[in-house]
Amino acid sequence: MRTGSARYLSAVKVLLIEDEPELRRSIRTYLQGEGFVVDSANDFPTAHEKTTQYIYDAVLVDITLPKGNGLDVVRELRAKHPTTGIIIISAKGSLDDKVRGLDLGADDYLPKPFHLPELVARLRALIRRKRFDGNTAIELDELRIVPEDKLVEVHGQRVDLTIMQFDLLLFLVANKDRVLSRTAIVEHVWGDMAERLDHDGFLYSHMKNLRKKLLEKGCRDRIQTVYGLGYRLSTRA
Amino acid sequence: MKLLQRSSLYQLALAVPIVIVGTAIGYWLVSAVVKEEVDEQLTFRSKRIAQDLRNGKEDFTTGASSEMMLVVPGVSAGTMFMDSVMPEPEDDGELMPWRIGRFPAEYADGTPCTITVGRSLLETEDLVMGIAASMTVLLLLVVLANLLLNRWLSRKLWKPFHHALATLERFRMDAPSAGALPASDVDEFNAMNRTLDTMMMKMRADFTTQKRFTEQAAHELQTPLAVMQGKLDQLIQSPNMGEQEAGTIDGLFQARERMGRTVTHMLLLARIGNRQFAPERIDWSALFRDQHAALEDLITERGINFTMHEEEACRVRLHPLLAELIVANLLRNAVQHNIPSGSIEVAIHASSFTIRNTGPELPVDPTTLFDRFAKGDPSSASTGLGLSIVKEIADGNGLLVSYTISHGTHTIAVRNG
Repeated sequence: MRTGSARYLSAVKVLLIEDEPELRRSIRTYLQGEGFVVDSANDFPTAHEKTTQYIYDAVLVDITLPKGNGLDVVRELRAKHPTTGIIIISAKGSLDDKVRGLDLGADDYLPKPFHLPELVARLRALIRRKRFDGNTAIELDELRIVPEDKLVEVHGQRVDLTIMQFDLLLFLVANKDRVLSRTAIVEHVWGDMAERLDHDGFLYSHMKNLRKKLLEKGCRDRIQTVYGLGYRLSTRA
Repeated sequence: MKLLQRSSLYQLALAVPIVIVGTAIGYWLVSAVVKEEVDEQLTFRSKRIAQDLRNGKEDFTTGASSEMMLVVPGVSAGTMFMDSVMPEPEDDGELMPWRIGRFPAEYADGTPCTITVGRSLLETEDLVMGIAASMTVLLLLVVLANLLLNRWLSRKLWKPFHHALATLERFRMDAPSAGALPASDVDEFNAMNRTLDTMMMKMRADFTTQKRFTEQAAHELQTPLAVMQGKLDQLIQSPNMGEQEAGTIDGLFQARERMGRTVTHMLLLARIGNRQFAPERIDWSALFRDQHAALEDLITERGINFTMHEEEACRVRLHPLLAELIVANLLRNAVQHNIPSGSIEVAIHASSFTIRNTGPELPVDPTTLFDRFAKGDPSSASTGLGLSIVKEIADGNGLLVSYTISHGTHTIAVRNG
């Protein structure tokens, strides 16, 4: 869906509300590199002003803000712009903050520290849900993915993937042409609350299987291993 | 032994000699009094006999079998009393106690003679025994009453102590205070209660401070870790990276990840204990199925045979997020510490569920299994906090977690406490 993704990605406007300057800069640069239009606010009054004046597709909001609370931003936004996607990015990685944030109408909750590819993947999933009610396919030339149906096709032929392989592929596609570290991938697939398993070797064999399944159906060899770092899904020929 | 029993025992030990000595003294006193009384009677009788003698009377036999009087001529040494025994003709000649008195006297003509009067002590003996017996009973009653009074008093007096003890037994640093110990009208107990109250308050305050510190420290670390992560994620996008740099960066990734996980778990641990999570009914088998689905590929890859058996819907109640944490951690633990082609069996019962898995012998002491940072392999990527999270959740919600091992099978059970 090159044309399709270009159509909606070019227009996606994101407001980043984060008071830590270095983190703000990193997120901003990374998201811009992914084609998002990023506006930012560093405290509550600025956030309030911007959310009142403009309409964003998505707002990333930190809970602890100078001169106010991010949860209030969530409440205000939800009342005014129900279609805006809201992701809470918080250092207060506690369960009740998560529950409270989601109760107030946030769409997702991402505890710090997070991987930027994870943020991108969630942001894309959110935009997809908000804009197209989830009825959208992601297309990369011969590769077609329908996230809601967990469907993957190559040249119109269905590829049978396990849930985990599907998650892996979706994560790679959401961050196409980016290097994804192994830890980012593992954390995406297994979450971070529970104890970590030693699965680097497992990830490797899974990646190999995924690649094999795609190649068998005639997909281009898109999944590349990047040195000792991780993987990348390439859209380039 | 209880304090009350011990003090009762001492009282009893003291009461026994008191009763014995008291009875002995009582007997001796009563018989002395009785003897004196008999002696007086004998003296009185002898005086009357002496009177009669002066009046010329000479025959002094008496019909009463319990008495005796005899006047024989001859000089006597002086008045004297003695105990004696005499055969009782009416009782087969058995010897009976008598009291005999001898008094010097004179006939009417002035020749000296000796009056001997006697009296059977049979009746007085009965009297003495009766008095001694009633005294013994009385003493016993007094001792018994004293014992009972002491017991009752102790119970009443020690009540504040037992109350304080019960409070201490129930004391938990992470539970809210149930209020100060009640005031007592005994100064010592008041002093004790005050000290205990202060102590418990201090412990709670210290514990809260410490937890808050953990929470804050962990929280403060989140942001720099996020910055670090962001920079690393950007750094690896750099197109001109050599293999050596990649290796270095990968090391940083791993370290960052482990740090982040430890911090997250520390924060989680601090918070599980700090907050209340309302328990709800949980569909445990669905939860296990979900978590199994998330791990299915890994389980298949390792050739682990997963089975789940639901005997009855489990009624263990928990907040859904905590329930998910418990199941995720236990299942991951069972996968991580398994053997190739091993097995995991989940059994769900009405008031408990168990996870049984094959696995190598524990490299750690089983009693420290649920301790924080207890790891089989110190260099593993695991934080060693997974099972402590399970334990913390269980403790905070009145559940019991137990671990048993037999023949290479590890079983962790969670049940209603």
